[in-house]
Parts: sequence; structure tokens; C-alpha cells
Amino acid sequence: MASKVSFGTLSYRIAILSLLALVLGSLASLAAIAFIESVAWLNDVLLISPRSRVQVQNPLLLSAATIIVPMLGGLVVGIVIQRYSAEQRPLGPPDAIRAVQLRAPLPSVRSGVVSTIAAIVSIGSGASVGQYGPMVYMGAIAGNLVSQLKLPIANLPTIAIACGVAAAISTAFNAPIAGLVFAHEVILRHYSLQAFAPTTVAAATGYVIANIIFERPPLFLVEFSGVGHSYEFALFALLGFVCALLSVGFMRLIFYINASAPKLPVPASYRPALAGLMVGLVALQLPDVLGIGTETLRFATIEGAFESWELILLVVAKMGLTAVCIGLGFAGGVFSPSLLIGILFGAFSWTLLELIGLPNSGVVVYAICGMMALTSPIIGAPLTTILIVFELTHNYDLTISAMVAVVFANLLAFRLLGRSMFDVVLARAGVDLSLGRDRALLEHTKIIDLPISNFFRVNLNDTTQLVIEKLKQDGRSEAVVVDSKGVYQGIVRIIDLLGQDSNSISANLHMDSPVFDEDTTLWQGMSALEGFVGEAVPIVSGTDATLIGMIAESELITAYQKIAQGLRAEENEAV
Amino acid sequence: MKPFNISFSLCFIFCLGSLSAQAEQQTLTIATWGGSYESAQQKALFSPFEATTGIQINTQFYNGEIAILKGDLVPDIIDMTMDDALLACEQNLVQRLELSKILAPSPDGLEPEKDFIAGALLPCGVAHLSYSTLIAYDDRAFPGEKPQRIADFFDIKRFPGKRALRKQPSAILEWALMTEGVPMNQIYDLLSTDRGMRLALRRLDNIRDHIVWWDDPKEPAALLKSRQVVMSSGFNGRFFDAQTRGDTITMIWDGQIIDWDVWVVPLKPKQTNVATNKFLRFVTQSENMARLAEHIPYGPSRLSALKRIGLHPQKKISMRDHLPTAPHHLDRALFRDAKWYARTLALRKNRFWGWINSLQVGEN
Repeated sequence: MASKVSFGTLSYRIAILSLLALVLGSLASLAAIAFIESVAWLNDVLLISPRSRVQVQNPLLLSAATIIVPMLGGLVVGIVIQRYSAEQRPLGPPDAIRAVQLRAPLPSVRSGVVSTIAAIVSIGSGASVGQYGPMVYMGAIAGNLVSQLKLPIANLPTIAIACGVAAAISTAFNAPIAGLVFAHEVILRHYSLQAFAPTTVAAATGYVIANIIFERPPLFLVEFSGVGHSYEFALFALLGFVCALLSVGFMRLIFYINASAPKLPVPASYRPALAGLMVGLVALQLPDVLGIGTETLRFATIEGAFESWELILLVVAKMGLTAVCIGLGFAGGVFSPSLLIGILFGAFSWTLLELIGLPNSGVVVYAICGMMALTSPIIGAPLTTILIVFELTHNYDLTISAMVAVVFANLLAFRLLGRSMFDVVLARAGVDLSLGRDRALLEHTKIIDLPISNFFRVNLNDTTQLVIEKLKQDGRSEAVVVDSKGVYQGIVRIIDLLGQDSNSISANLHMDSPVFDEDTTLWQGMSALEGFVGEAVPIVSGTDATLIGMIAESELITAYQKIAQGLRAEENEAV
Repeated sequence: MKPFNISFSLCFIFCLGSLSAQAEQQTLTIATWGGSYESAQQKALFSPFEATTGIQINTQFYNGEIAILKGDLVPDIIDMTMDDALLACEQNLVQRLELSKILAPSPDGLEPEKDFIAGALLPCGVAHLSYSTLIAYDDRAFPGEKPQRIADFFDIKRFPGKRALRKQPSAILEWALMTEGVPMNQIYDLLSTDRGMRLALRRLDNIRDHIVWWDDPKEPAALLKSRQVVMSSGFNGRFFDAQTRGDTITMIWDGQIIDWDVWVVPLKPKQTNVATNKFLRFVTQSENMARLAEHIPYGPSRLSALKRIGLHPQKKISMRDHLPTAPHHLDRALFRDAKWYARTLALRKNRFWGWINSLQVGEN
């Protein structure tokens, strides 16, 4: 394959791809840093962060802010999203995945920017939602913008989005390898060298910008000296299973609230404010639920920072509030809340071990295992999760332990719900990636969009003789029959008409042929063709049953092959 | 208009100052911290100031906090910690200063705004030196393994013996959380929560029976020397001074907390600022700041002063290596968040004294 490309073209492509990756890496990384900084600033100004809250002398002001800020934040988010976003919902990783997997355009830049602003306001005002989803989407926006350049590179839009996402994750977690793997595991879902190389460059660029230029501190340094007892690995696996159950329960809760939200007697614009009010009320008693909870995350790794009951209370509160916030329309991700819920639950599991007096290696490893095992099924990326642990903690023993918990969590959660929350969201929106990307693409391609062949139409009232003559004249073997209003009636074949006495063709109508409508997908079409013997299949309007056209069987097969070959080519492309 | 204004005000400061100095013996009362720090200031700043201007300097012992500003004997100038200075400014107890007119340019002619490090020029004062609060130990107490990390201060088993701590809710809270594995950039975030405060005090509980409290900054070195304690918190300059006098003291730079001292001018009725401005201008001149750092290893806040620090007058060792901000001291250093300190004073006192009182109840 490669030998067909001249050296000059090859160098040109490599240069363009590298440059593209550098530009995208910088762009997405700077955007991610700006995002994090804006959120931190808002958290300080709006009295969400503990550091700002403790400096307020007036307790009344603090209580008022606790309730009013998330509520007003919700109001702003609701109005902004409903009024200025075409989709009228926050955008996130599922939209990026959809665009890449289906080779479809991303939602408009305007919607993306609106969604990003809404996410900053959401997290900034203390809503219980995460920052990584919006950052991933910002990376995708950057990729989308750059891919508008008309560069002679195959699969440019997909690669560009993957680069943006890789750089965003790389910057956000200070974890370039995790960024690179995330882009492949979640967004691209294949490992072609053509995409791998620029994604790596983008992830490294993000890391350099975050680490060297801005000197951002490592996100989560913990001290851990190793697993003391071999039986603990079984405990990690067990913890993985339990976290999978929690994780699935958490996702189902989000879906449930999301589905029930329209039944509320509150217009969509005001629903986030309602969620904000609930956050504020709970935060009066449990300030740990406000915002991203970096402090709580740290406390969970300190022995004795929480009582067992506090941990369980916080797990329940954080799950409920996150589901409410996301379900009612705050803009933000589930990743950071999952980290928090997981680490609290991991710490809780450790307190149980202490209770029964089982010798163990301390709270840190259980907290980290819980954190990752609960999060991994949600993003559907076990490899990324394991690498994040490695890059965040720089600790090999912790990584191995978390790895065990993560894979078991993923195994169970996959069976119970699906590959990830993103995939379930997409499947519910009609993009089912669970049976492979080709199936999703086939299901996404409408037959009506394929070239519709010339077809031969006769009227139901035409005489047999007339139809035979028309068919002979045109050299065809079959015709589609409509009535006077153009409504599809069936198909007649010349072979049936020849030698017939009856003047009417109605006796010889074939009505067993499959019939497509405007919504029939290529996947459905291909399935319907099983056992089909004719030349072409009629496409009939779904509303008034009038005939729209005929699609030749060969067109269906050609379209199918084109998609399959395109995917193979993309997934095996070098440069 | 502008050049005229500046030269006019400069003349106002100096001409008037020298006139009144001739007329009568003027004195300034400076509140400062006593001990080796004050004697270093005496040698490096106060005596030369007296010799240059003829204004007499009296010192008044000061040991922190802003109560001094509300009492009867309010000095002319106070050498305050940054958090107290911010608090005093917020409560309008000290003057707002037009530092650009008061301070001298660097010897290279650089304006103060560019020569002082960022954040040193405050609305109500000028941060003039950085000092470190850290743990030091008596080498004689540990003939074998020496304490090296801040966690060792809390490790009674490996390093037995009494520990001296300042009876104040500062530094120990940060150290307690450091030993829980909290990274430096999260210490104040975590101390901002009720949980963090609780954890810090819980850590102190572990060593409660081994604590000796001190108040005056000159006590730690004395406590170590007299073997009353084996480790003590204290200020790096004082410990250094004890070392130069032959004490067997070693400082643990791990977990050191760096803070700033600030010159502030109290609000006093019927006061003219001629002499105080003269003083501020003199003591913040690069050469003078560098000279102070040669006597005691506290880091000047001016870049031009940092470049001029030479040898210790007696020991003839390079003083630059002994500053809190020397690169080899910064591996695990915490820069105190003075604003946070100022705003959480009541809370910290509340929690700390609540804890102290619970100890006493426990003992009874």
C-alpha cells in the first residue's frame, strides 16, 4: 500500500499531520487550562471553594450564598442552553463519539461554545457535575475547527477530533499517555498508525504546555508503599464487582431522572435552577457535595478523616445530587463526580476491613481502587483508567491493584448495562455501537439518500396489453404499479403477464416484495434483502403511501461495500 | 506638573526632616521582635540610620498580632507579619502608604515597583523580608539516626523527647496536615474545612504529652541548648544565630513555612510622616536590606538587594545559601497564605484554644 505513495507526498502528509497535531494540541490544552482556571476563579468568587468559604466571617451570608449561588447558576445555565443552543441540551463526549464513529458533522460551533460556557457556569456555581466531559468536548470543537481546513489528508475530521480530545485529557490530568489512550479507546475505537501518530503528538503537546509552560502541579500524589498481603488482590476484584453494581445503579439513576424530567411541571429552562436549589439545601448540612470536591477527594485517602457513616452518607448524597444535576440539565460531565463517589466508597470498604480486623495495606489503595473501578464502567475505558492511576500517582503498586478492580468492574457493568454511559446515551438516541461501528454506520445511512434508480411506473388501470408493450419498449422485466393517486400497489413482472387473458393486471400483482420508506436504514435494507429475488425495491412515503422511487439491489450492495471498505481503510491507514 | 510634584514632595520630606532634626532631637519608636533579630536590625539598619539622619531609634518589644495598635503605647513603626499587616490594613489601624513616593529606586535606577518582588508593595506597608518557620533539633539528643522530615517531629517512637511549639494556631496546623500526606498546594484548601482542622488537631493529639509551649521567639534556641526539649519550632534566623554561637542545632528544612515581615505605620493623631517615611526609605534601600541579610539569614524582598548579599561579618560564610528561599531549601517548602491567615484568625484561635482547653480538662 505504502509503496504507491511517492516520497514527496508522504513527507508532505507527515509534515501536515505533525503540524496539525501541534496546533491542535496547543489549542485544546490552552482551552482546557482556561476552563480549569475559570472554574477555580468562579468557585472562589462565588463562595463555593472551602478556601473562600472559610474566609467569610458572616455565617448568614455564607448560608445564603450556599443556596442562592447554585440556584442562580442553574437559572443561567437553563436559559442559555434553551435559548442559544440548537440542540437545547449540553453537549459532551457522546456527541464527539457520534461524529467520529458515524463520520457525521459535530453539532454547530455555536452550540459547542454555549455548552462550554454553560459547563463553566455549572461547575463554577457548585453544581454536582464534572469538568472532564466538557473539556473533552472542547477538544472535539478544536479538532472540528481545524478539520474545516481543506487539507488533502484522508480521515482528517476524525483524526483532528481525536487529537483535540487527547490533548484536553492530557492537560486536564497531566497524563499524556492516558490522553492518547482515551482518544483511541473512547473516541476513535481503532488503532491506525495514521491516527496514532498525530494523537500522540497532540497529547505530548498538551502535557508540555500544562507541565512545563504553566507548571501545573500533579493532580493526585499519594504515598503508598505496596500491597502487604496477597489476598488483598481478591478484595480488589470484589471491590471492582461491587463498584460495578454501584456504577450501573448510578447511571440508571441519571437516565431515570433524565427521562422523568419532562414530566415535571417546570419548563426546561428552569429545571437546572431546581437542581441547584437541591444542591444548596443539601450543602447547608453537607458542604462536601458542592462542586468538584477536590478537598473531599484528598480526605478520602487519609485514614480516619471520615467516619463510616459519613462516607456512606456522602456516597448517597453525591450520587443523588449528581443524577439530579445532570438529569435536570446542568451542563457537565459524570467523570469527576464518579471519581469522588468511587473514592468515598473505596474508603468505606476499607473501614469495613478495619471493622472486621482484617490486616490490610491501608486506606489509600482501597480508595484508589474504588475510585477507578466506579469510574471505568462509566467512561467505558479500562485502559485509560488504569493509565490515569499510573500517571497521577506515579505508583506502580497502586496501578496494579487498581487494574484488578477496574477490569472486574468493567466486565460486570458491560453485562448489566453496556460499554459505557456514553454508548448507552448514544444507543438511546439511535446510534448503537455495541455491535460494532459498521453496524452503527449502516444504521445511520438512510436508503433514501442513496442514488435512486430509474424505475418504470404503470397505473393500476392500465390494461395488461398496454403494460406488456410498455415493458417491451423499455426493455424491462418488471414495473411498479401505482393507483391514480400515486399510491404504491405492487409489482408486475412481464413473465406473469405474457399469455394472460385478463385485461386487468391486478390479478398478477406481486405484493410480497419488501417495501422501504424514507426512514429505512441501510442496515434494515440489507436485512430485508434476504431471499429477495427482484431487481429493485420500492421506496414508499411513510405518510401517504405514495411511491417515491425504487432502489436497485446493486445500489444497496455497493453502498454497503463502500462503508465496509472505508472503515477498513481508515482503520488500517498508515500515513 | 508631575515632575514638579515629585521633586516638591521629595524636598518636603527631606528639607523639612533635616530642619526639624536640627531643631530638636527626634526619636522614632520601632516595634520589633527582640533577640538576635533585633540586634541584627540594630547593627544593619538602626545604627546606620541614626548616624545618617540624626533621628534616634527606640525599640519596643513586639510579639505579633494587632492588639498593639489598639493599646496605649502605639509605636511609630511596626515590623509585622504579613497576615497581621493585612488585618491591620483591613481594620484601618495603619496608614495607607504611597510607596512609590517613599521608597528609593534600586542602585541601577530601577523603580521600586519593578525591583521589589511581586506582592511586596502592599496598600498599607512594604513586605521587606522573608523568614522561615521550621523545626530544629538538638544534635546531642539523637546520636544515631537524625530527624530529617517534618513527619519525624510527630514520631515520638523513633525520635523520643519533648518538643517545643509556639502557643499559637499557626504552622503546627500546616505541619500536621503535611504529615498526613497532603501536598503543599492543598494544605490551605484542606485546612479551610472543618474536617481538615479536626485532622490537624488529631495529629497534635498524638504528641500532646510531649509538647512544651513557647511564646517569645528567642525561647526555642534556649530550650534546645538547655536540653529541656529535643526539637522545637522556631525561626530560621534565630536558629542560625544560635549555630554561629556554637549551639548544636540542626534545622529541618523539609516542611518549612515561608512568610513575610512587613513595615507598617500606625495611624496616630497629629502625626507627620517625615521621620517615618525617612525610616522606610532608608531600611528598604538595597544596600541596607542586603546588609541585614548578612547579619541574619532572612531574604530581602528586593531583587537588587538579593544580588548584593555577601558574607556573614564574623563567620565569613556566604549568607545567600542560608536564606529560606535558597534553592536547596525549597524542595518541600510551603508559602504561607497570609490573606487566608488574616481572615481565619478567629476560627484558628477558636479551634486551637478549644483543643488546648480540652487537654487541660483531660488532665484534671
